Amino acid sequence: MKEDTNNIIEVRGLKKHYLKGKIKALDGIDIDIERGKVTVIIGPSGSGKSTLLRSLNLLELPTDGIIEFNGVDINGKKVDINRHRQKMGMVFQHFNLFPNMTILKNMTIAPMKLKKVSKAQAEEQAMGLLKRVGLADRANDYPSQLSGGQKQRIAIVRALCMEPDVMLFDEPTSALDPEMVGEVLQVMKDLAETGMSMVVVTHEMGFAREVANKVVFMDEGVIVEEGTPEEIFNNPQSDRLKDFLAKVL
Amino acid sequence: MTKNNKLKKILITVGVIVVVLAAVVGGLYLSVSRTAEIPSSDEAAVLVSNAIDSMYGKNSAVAKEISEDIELKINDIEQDGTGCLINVTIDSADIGALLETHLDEIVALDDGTVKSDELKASINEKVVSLLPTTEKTTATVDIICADVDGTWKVYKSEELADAVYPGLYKFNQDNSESEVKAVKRLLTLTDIKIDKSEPDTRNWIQRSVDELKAQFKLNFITDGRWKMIVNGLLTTLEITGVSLVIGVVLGIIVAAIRASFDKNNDEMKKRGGIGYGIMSFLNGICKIYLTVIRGTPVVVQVLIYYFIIFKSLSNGTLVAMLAFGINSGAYVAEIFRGGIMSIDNGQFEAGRSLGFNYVQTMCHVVIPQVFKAVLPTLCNEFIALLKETSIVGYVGEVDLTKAGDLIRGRTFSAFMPLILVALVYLALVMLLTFLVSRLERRLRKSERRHE
Repeated sequence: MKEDTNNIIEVRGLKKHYLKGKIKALDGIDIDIERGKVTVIIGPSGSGKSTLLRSLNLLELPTDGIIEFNGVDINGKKVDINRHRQKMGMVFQHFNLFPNMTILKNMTIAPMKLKKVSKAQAEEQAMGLLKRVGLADRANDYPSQLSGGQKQRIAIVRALCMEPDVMLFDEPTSALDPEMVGEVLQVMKDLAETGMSMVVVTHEMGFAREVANKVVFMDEGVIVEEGTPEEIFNNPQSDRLKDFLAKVL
Repeated sequence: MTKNNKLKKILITVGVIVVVLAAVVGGLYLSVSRTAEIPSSDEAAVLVSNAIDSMYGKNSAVAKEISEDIELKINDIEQDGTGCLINVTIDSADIGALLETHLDEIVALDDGTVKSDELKASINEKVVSLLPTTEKTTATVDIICADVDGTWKVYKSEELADAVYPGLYKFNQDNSESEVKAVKRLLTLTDIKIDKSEPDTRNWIQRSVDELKAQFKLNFITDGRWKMIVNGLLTTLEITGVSLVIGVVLGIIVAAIRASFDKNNDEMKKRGGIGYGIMSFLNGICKIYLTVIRGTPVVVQVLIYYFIIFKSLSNGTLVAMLAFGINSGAYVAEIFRGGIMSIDNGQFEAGRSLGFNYVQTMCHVVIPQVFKAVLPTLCNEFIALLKETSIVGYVGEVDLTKAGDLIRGRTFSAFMPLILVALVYLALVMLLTFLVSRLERRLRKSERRHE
């Protein structure tokens, strides 16, 4: 464990190939995720940004490369990935709440089963988090009774229940009605202010500009440019980034 | 609004049912009551007196006199099945007095069979002592009339004879001493004719009901045959229940192996080690199991288990349980595998991202949802299993079907036992369907509460 390093995740030479190398979703990625900072990954569709994010907790199995999480290469052979995933919260585009459980059960099942937290303790923690996102009164409802924005806020606090070291967001607002995007981004902003390490794949350039500490622009499986929001949005270097920004801004 | 509509629908349904029932009952009533018109009081009197006249033989002068001296009073005539019932009050002749006046004639009528004078004297004495001393009596009897091709035929019963010839008819029937025989001959009453059997005035409904009752008694009550049905039912339930459990357990294991291999083999391949080899071996075994079991008829499987594999096992029920359990497992496995594959991969990823391993994700997240998704299909499989067990008769097990068939073989009547067996299966399946639909409703609670 290299506790002294400032990076919570260090990725070196990450590759993800399909069809025996014919398709290269990721083609040699090096990236550092700083502890306590917000890293936003942007890029056009099919650029590999989601694949990169999903590779960080091995939902996508890389073809090659090193992913050091808290100083351990979790892409190695003898690693218990499940233990590391407990420390990496993930939020999906389509929420992926468990439809057969109440909101409270959605949030408490992982801590109770994996960390052996008592039911009372897990529920107390869950209720605290629900209050933070203003959904304490929905604790005993089922996911189908919530709006998209509410579901995504629940998905965020469900991940937080495991007290992760880093949160991965995979296009968290892409499946939402426009009017619900704000409430979810607000929760993420609040979360960033608490000093949570975050990696966010998003198309919300406003959010990237406002909240990110570092912005990474990807295209065709490689990182084209990275820097502060200032550098990326106001002073793009590459033609591809300029082209991309011209289209989305 | 919807509630009102529902109520309306129910009311209409009930209304239609009532109308149909009324039509059926009315039709039946009409068809039953469509017989010859019952006779009027006068016609009845004629019918009865004709019947009484036809009771005595040609030579029975005394009987004729007695029967001519009676008085009839028709009280009531009512429909009874296809016939009618005439209630009549009969005032008899004063038989004692009549016999008294005829005594000389009676004794003189000696037809020469009695030879000895001594005996003649004793008979004379006997006759006097034996003669009934009945006086005028009044009796009320019900007389059955049957409709024979549109005309009424009166049934001459013992009761009627006794009312017309009070004392005498019984006297005629009861005694058998030789002297009495002679007296009877002297009285010329021996040939009072009555009808031997009661006419069948039942209409077709009564007749069918009686027939069914008799059949029921023959097939289920006699020799305690109902016990065969009950024992057969227990055997069926036993085999179905145990093979259901075997099938579900086996099916879940096989489905888990197959689905894990399909879903998880990339990860295992990457991690390497012996795990991947074991899984791919198990997956192969499961595939062979599914192919063989689903590719051969269950009857053949049962026969193979019974006569080849478990040849030494004398317990046929156990063999049947195993056979059906292993058979059902294959179908349940495919049902469950389909269910697992139908669950959105996002659910799986959400579970894994929280830190659950593959098995925990399956148990805590996927399987509960799968169960809900496959319940209707699974219910179908259970129903099919219940009915499939009816073939265990092939290996000498007496289940419900075999029990019904055995009764059929013994009573030579197929209707009752086979229909009953069918009804029992039907009731079981309906009960099962009802229970599963209730369970389904409860499981669906989370989906139903849309706002």
